[in-house]
Amino acid sequence: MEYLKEIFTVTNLLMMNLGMAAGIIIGALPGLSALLAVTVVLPFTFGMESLPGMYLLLGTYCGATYGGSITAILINTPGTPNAACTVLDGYPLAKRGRAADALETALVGSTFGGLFSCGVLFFLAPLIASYALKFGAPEYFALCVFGIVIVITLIGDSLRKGALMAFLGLLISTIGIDSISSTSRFMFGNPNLLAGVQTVALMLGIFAVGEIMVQSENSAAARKKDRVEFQKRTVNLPALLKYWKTMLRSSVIGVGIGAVPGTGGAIAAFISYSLAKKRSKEAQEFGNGSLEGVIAPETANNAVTGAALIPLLTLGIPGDACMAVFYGALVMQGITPGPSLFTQDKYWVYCIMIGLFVVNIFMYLQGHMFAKAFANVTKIPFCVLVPCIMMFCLLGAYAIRNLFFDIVVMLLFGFVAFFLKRCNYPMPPLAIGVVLGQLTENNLRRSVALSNGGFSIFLQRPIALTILIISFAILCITSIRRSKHRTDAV
Amino acid sequence: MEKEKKNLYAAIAFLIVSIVTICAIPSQIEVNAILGTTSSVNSRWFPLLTSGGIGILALMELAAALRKYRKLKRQGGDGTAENKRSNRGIVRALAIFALFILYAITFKLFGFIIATLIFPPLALVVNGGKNWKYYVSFYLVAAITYLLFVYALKIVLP
Repeated sequence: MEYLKEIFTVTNLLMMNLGMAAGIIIGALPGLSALLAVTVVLPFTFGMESLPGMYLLLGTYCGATYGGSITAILINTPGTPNAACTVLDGYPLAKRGRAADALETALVGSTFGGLFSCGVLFFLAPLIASYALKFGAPEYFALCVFGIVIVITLIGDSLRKGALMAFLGLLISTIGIDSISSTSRFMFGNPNLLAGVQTVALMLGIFAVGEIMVQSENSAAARKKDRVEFQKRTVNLPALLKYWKTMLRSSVIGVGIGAVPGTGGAIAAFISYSLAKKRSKEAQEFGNGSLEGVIAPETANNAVTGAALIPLLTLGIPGDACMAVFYGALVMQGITPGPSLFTQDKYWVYCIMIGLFVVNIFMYLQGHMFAKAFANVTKIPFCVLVPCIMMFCLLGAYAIRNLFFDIVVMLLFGFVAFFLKRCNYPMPPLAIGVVLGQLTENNLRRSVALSNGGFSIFLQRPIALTILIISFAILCITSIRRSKHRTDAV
Repeated sequence: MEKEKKNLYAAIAFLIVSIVTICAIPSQIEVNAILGTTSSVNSRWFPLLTSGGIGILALMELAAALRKYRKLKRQGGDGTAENKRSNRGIVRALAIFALFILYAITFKLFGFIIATLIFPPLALVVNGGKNWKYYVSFYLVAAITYLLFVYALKIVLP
């Protein structure tokens, strides 16, 4: 009851709904991802207390994940990468005059998946956290390496480019005061770098500034798509619940994939879609406008949302770029993610987990009541968004410490990110490298100190050794597969 | 061919970053006399490891890009049409960035309101926004955002 009293305040409920609306709108706009939505909303949390701030971000995250389905269905363009699979059956349904049915199906699936992942987070996270409390420096170092390796192997086309960005992120994280020996590093006499490069300014630069530059490079004609009009809904919730087996299976897939660092909604959606097609009695309908073909990927991609919080909250390891932004938000609020959250800040973390249930319920209510309004978002041209994003980025960077220097950092990284994106260098490994850098270095140096200057401790700690071997194996297997694929293509 | 040129330049840039960082380490990172000298794993070690990693990976990327570039050059290939299209796009993107810089400088010198009245709408112009409703919508969003930040979130703006 205490938790409910804390969650159900006017401020918290308002933040959940505002975040949800902002997330659905941004997610519905083609080319803008859940990541950009969360990054742009982040500055609004600076002046807030931690709970309302987190609810705002969680609402945005869940809303944007669902919002991508709106453009996928109406204009055959996924609003976010997570909705890439929804296009396959969503748009054909819309062309048959059933756009509203497709949207309702996507909403029901998203809500089911979101609620399922909340349940898993609620019951699994405390167990993982209690186990993780026994971890020492070698285990934490191994987990950091695992997180970075997973992001490198799963995101982007080139292992080398991903690794370069991850190393760059690790290097950037060394700027500032070394927390072990208290010496200054790469400050170049600038006192603004005492605490290092501000993670939030960097995120705004690489994910927001860089992105609007990349989007501006594309012409308006290239962005124009044929739009299907919104029609009256003919399906309802009871009718869609007959697909409960598909939704349950997709939820399990989404949770399993979401809990693994580096994976995301897009992978979950595709796996879920192909499994649903194999097991469906109406497999021939898939690709031609099957409701099951919409419900499977949408359930899976929203099931990722709660599960992605598991490694962040229990281990302090952000599993993807979105979670890296959450990590930055938590640190700004003075909260350190990790297993100690479940002992020192137990009340807070349970409020977050229970609050996520409420967020998903609001997602269903908002999506159901305002479907037509959200559908009109697809009419907003990209040119209108650019000045808005510019303004949010500038305010966001300044609001961190009221320093102009952070705006300079944001612009510098935005500029670099623009050129690197044009060369197909992925940004998430850079973000993960920056966020995990200090944790990786400190735990590595502590481990080496425990070994009296050597690395033998990693051979003496079975958990750390196992994680490192798995990481190495994943790297090797991915490298061999990609080389083989390139050779076959030639 | 254009893609391989970009990969080449990017790899060279990373290599330069690696070399500059490794050269800067002795001057930029002091080794703590009490904590650092008994161990080779001191405050310079991780930056050296990461910049060394960047250097090695950059060399590998450079070699791969050079190999592909030479192969494509031998096969022949003209990127003129591609260049024309991408030049227009890059100019637009760089114009947005230039506006961003001017916005930031004006923000610092003259405050949020004056800076926001001028530069973000110019970004609308660069991206082809011709409808007057777009500008009205932006100013409405800007006004709400200003009120939110200053009065609700109590963030002091210049």
